[in-house]
Amino acid sequence: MKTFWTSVFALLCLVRGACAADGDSNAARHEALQLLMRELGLQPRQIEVIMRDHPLDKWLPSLIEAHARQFGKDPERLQTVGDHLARTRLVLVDGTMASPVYQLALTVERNQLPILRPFQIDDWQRASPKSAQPGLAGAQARLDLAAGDWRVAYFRANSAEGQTLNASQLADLERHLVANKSVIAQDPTWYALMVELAVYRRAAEAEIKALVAEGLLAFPENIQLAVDGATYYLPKWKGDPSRLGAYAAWVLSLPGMSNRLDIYPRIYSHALYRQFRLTLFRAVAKDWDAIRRGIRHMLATYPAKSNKNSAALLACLAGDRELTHQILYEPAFELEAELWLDHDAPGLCMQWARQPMSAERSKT
Amino acid sequence: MTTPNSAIVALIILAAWPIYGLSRAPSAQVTEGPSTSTKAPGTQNAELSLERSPLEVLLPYVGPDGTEKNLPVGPLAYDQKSTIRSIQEPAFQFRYNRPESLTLLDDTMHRYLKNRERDPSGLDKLTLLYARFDAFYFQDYQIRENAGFASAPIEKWRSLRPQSRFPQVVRAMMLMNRAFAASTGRPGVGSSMANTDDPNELLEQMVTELDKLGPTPGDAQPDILRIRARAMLGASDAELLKLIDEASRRNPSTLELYGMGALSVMSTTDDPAGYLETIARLAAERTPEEGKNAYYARTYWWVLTWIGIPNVRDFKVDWERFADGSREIVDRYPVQWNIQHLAAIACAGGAKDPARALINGAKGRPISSAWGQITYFQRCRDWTRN
Repeated sequence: MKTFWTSVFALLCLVRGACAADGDSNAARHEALQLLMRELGLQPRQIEVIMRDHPLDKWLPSLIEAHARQFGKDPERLQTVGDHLARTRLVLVDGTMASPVYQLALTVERNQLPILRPFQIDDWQRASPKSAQPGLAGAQARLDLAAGDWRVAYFRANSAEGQTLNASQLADLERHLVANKSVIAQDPTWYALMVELAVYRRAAEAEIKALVAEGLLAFPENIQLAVDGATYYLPKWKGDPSRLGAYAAWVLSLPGMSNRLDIYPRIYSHALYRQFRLTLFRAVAKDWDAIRRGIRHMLATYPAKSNKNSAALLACLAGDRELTHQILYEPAFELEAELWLDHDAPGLCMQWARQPMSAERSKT
Repeated sequence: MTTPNSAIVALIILAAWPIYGLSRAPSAQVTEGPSTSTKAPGTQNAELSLERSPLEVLLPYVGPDGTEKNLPVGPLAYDQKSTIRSIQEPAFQFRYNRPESLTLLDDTMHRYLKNRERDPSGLDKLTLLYARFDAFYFQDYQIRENAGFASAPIEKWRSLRPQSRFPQVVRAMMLMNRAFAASTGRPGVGSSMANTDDPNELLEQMVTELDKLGPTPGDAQPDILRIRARAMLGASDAELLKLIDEASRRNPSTLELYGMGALSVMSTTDDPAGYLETIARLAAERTPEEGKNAYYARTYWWVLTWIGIPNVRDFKVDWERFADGSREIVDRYPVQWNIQHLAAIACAGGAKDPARALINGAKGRPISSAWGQITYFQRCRDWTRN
């Protein structure tokens, strides 16, 4: 009987993509955690430490990154975890999909040393023609070579000014990704790579939006793709940041996205971390009502430590003392200092938020 | 499929723990925070009153694109924390348990010892490197398991460099770390995580192992560990002062000997201010090559780093000596780290003249570990000018 229902459920997954909803559950997160702990060969003592200390919020993302760091050059292991994360559409406690987090960790790791040589990737692809992972690894390696410091600027606040990229190699890569879409796009990172390439060649806004819309239709959980699309509006990629709010509103208008109010704070945080840092609201006009609503939604739905910290920074930077206080002085708040960009920032915001509001203001 | 060895597993656990700098910064000294409350331009909703962000105080110190580059006020020419991080990197790599990392660590420590290398602020590099293994400075080694995980790389280090004393000193430090963990945090009895270590036993084992090492010229760390152990085992203030005096004859120029020694004595005595003044004078006397009073000022600074700069008011600082020592330090090591910390101490102690002399040399961004918050720096600067 159990087998029967399992089969029915599996069939439903295939037909309707119903498994997508499963990825955003603690059961799926625990399953991934178990897989990673097995893969990493953790001992019972270590597992005990992990299970007692925010296993899903703190350790699951850490172990995903640890796996990328340790086994980024081991195709078999990389494929096991990469395919698992994509297939289960796992969503982390902070509301982002695990697949892009894993791929980003691999990207960071590749910056440290070249991990897989082209012939190794070719062999891997031949051995696993149905997995997205070899194609992704190959594309990432080619993108590293062609874009170099542009990629550093893409993923960090650095400027791309004065750096060069190889446009013809990027065009080749784009063609390759399109030609192999049926396999590689099983992983949501395919769309992220296409957006990245489109940003580099300063594609039309409509093209970026089409990629984001298609990617969100295929992987509605992948809110990070919508955030990646906002890169297009950063001035360092010749974008117009005054359009960030309109872009966020457009994301919300997409099918199935109307409940993702968290897109607002995520997009403005993206602009903050990837370019403006503490000067964000000096440079970019804000619709604070929308961001504020988005923060409340994000913290109610995805109360991860990282979300609380980035939201508190946004609120403090915007001058919203009430919201800053609510986040910082919630009993479960834990500081993640590296998200504040400046070692003085948490102290300044905490002290400011603690000051009593005037009677008139506290009524509002 | 290979299984990672236990050292790699330890690495994963350790790597995921936050990496802290010196974990206990002086407390903030601001009594009044940012107070301007104006409505921000561009507010969308009239009902929602946004105030001026307290983070605006940082904007003069970040560039137009949010970085600290190309500022009219100039960024800090020298970043002490980055310097310390780079000095400590070989000690961080130690946990990877790779032969090349361990031999590099050993070579680096030998070089620091042989050349008595200092960082640009005048601190002893060997001491800074040792600090990365010390639970007193870094929270990661306050976890008993982490001190335990260190035994594998230490043993490999010993096998790679059997003649080197450093792995043995670090091994002793791990015993101190475990004793520290056992005496400061014990989960409830019956818990599977309960720390059942006996701190006294560990300390005695550590002292025995250090005694076997014999003299360590140029390396005061074994003496410092012994003094700390004696303090934890209940030695009297007079006994500790005697140990500091003896150790300072062997290795006079290690500042940590006086600083840590003073903290140890202060934890046991009824007269912390008196003993601190005595040890600061002893430090100056033992180190004439550093200047007449440089180590006097540095000893106070070292201790205040741990107990909070505002507490300087409870001490018996001879401000003339302090001003003289500060001048010597800044003349020889003219980095903002020195200038601003010494200025903050003088300011907190109400010593206007030395504070003015120092704060006039302050440039670039106020250093948070000195001032707590930037507004305190501004207030201090205004006070010295009035």
